Amino acid sequence: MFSEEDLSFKKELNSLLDNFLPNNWQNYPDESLDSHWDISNKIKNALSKKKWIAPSWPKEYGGLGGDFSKSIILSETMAYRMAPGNDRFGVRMIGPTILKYGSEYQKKKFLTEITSGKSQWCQGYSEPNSGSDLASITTKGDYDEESNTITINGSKIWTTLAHRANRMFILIRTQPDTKRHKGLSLLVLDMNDPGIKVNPIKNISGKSSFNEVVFNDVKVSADNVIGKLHDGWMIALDLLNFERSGIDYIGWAERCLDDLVDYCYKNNLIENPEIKNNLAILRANLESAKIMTYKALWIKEQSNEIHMEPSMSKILATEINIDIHDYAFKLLKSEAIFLDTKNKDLFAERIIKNRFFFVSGGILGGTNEIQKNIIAQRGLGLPR
Amino acid sequence: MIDFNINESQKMILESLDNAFSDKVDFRKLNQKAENLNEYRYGYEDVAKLGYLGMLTDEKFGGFGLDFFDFCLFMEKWGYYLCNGPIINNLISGIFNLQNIDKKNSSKLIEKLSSSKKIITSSISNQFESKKFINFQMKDNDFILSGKIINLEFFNDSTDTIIVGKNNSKIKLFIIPNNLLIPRNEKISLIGDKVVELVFNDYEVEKKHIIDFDVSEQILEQIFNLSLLAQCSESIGLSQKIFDKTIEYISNREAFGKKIGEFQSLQHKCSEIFISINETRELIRNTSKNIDIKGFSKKVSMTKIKCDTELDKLSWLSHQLHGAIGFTWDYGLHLLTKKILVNKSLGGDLEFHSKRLYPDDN
Repeated sequence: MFSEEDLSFKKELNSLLDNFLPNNWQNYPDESLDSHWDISNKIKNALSKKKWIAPSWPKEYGGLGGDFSKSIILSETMAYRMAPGNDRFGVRMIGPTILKYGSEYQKKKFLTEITSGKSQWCQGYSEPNSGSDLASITTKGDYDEESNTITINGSKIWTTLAHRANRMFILIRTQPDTKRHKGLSLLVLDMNDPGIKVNPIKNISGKSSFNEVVFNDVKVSADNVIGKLHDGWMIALDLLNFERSGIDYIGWAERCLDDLVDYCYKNNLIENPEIKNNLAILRANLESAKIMTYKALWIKEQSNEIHMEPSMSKILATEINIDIHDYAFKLLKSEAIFLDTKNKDLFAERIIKNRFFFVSGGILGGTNEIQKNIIAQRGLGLPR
Repeated sequence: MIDFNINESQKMILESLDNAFSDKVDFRKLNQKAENLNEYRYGYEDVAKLGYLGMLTDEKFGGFGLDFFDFCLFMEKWGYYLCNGPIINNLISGIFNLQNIDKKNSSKLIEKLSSSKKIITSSISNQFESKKFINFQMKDNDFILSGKIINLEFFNDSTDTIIVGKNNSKIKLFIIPNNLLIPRNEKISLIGDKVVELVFNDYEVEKKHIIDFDVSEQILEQIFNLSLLAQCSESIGLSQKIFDKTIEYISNREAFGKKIGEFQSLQHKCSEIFISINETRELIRNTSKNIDIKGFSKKVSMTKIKCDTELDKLSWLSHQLHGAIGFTWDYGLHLLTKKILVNKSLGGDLEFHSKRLYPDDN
């Protein structure tokens, strides 16, 4: 599936990561932690020097101008190595969206900023009363024609890495009295602008990786609107399809399964036919989910039409990741429960921590149930 | 290079199969066949007329010289339309295999197989899986064969049978004319297909009457792998047919004053089936595109495991979504499910393939 050149890129990437990841690094990448944030910035900087942050982007914006296979390898390998420094909001969500819909000014400014490795993005979609039902958002943007600015008031929630980010892409209602999909605009803002307050929220794994973000008369130039003012809904949806491939989950899942198989060989569990069968089923499911993820990314490159593959691969990738972690937990039993004991196996230690974190996979980017609605109604044509 | 496209010539083949078979699926007649009341079958002869028996045959032998992946796409349609006949036997155990092991000496046979002048059935896959080979010895101008072949399909439809013989470490393929063989213990499968046994008790056969080739275990494994993949492609075609019938049904059936397809619980079930069929199909296609890679056997086992753990579950779920109509004989959904179960029973079970993936002594 991958060319020799791709495989050699993967080898070089792994060598680069070896330089920055501590020995036996087995932590879910969580840039909300200072130690991870520091590694993240070092890796981003190193990737940027090689023009590897977004290798498939055009050279003029800091990419290599290659096909998208290197981008797949980058995301999958960094997830497999659990490496911080892969800014999915910038590289995989707003970046491709700007490439497709953005003005030349936006491309030059924001894309080159992303590939310089100096920025961190966050996503301003969900609101306290608007999660899966994204079209119900109420955060307001008042457009002033004379100054060509938009004044934002309202709040966003579940905003991962808002406390680290210097940039946000945000969906707001710019036409008052409009409902649902009308009158919405997608724009980019600077998180250091006056009037933005970030309030951390502790998540299920005990960390504060996501936040509430409050906007109080925040002024943004209308030059930062992606596409047309008041007409951002379809662009915002298209962006979600860039988010939904699930490629990170494939990398995390594969790492967990590989480590679990090693554990089973080392502890003579592999001779148990039931365990062997279950591992084989998980491997088969992972392999098919991985190929669907590649297809979802491939199809986004091929056409501008809406496809069902991103919804499918998002469900498959998040579910297989959870299935593998759950099976690992089942085999590890008490080893995974008691933390901070001496000589503890790092693999056992990380399983339960990661499992809690991965609850978010089936929720973010549109819950898996919403994806099933999309597939049934838009893909299969079943009645609403 | 990542590429999920179906090219124009592949599309043309698939369209021609739609044209050839879309009117042939007659569940009334197929039901009767399942009850052994008729011999209603289509597929092999129609494909022969279209020239597709030569799809894997080298162009210099008058074939199309297509890839194995093309054949797997073909098999999806074969399954979708419930076609029947020794297609995998002839194209994989026969043509594809002979071209690889001894192209020069088997050119006439390849031409005959490609034009349906000869039709073979094969026990290679069964024997590879069970490791039960026919013992052979050579005596003057004769071969002496001992052993038993079970569950041999399509014997009555073919002119010759390929079996695997072993003498210590030496392995041979024998192509024996069916008129020299006596089938016994005929059994009828869930969908009305017949299988037979062949018993060789120090059976002497003159060398001049049969064709023999030396082969390696690797070649047998490759035939086994490719036959399995072709069968998986057939099964995914069957699953697609079941799914299409299910969507059509729930889009039209009304209950509680509305189409039942409006109920979210049913929509989610349909989405789950759709996802599962799509991921399984892409896995099969990806494996069949990469038959020369290192670790191919492991990929085949993953693919077989995926098919066997997913596709019958999807069938049962489709019966449930149909309600009572899916429980009837006449509606015919059961025929598709049964064929999937038949395919599941062939080519090694979960334990067999798990061991290929994770051998004890890694």
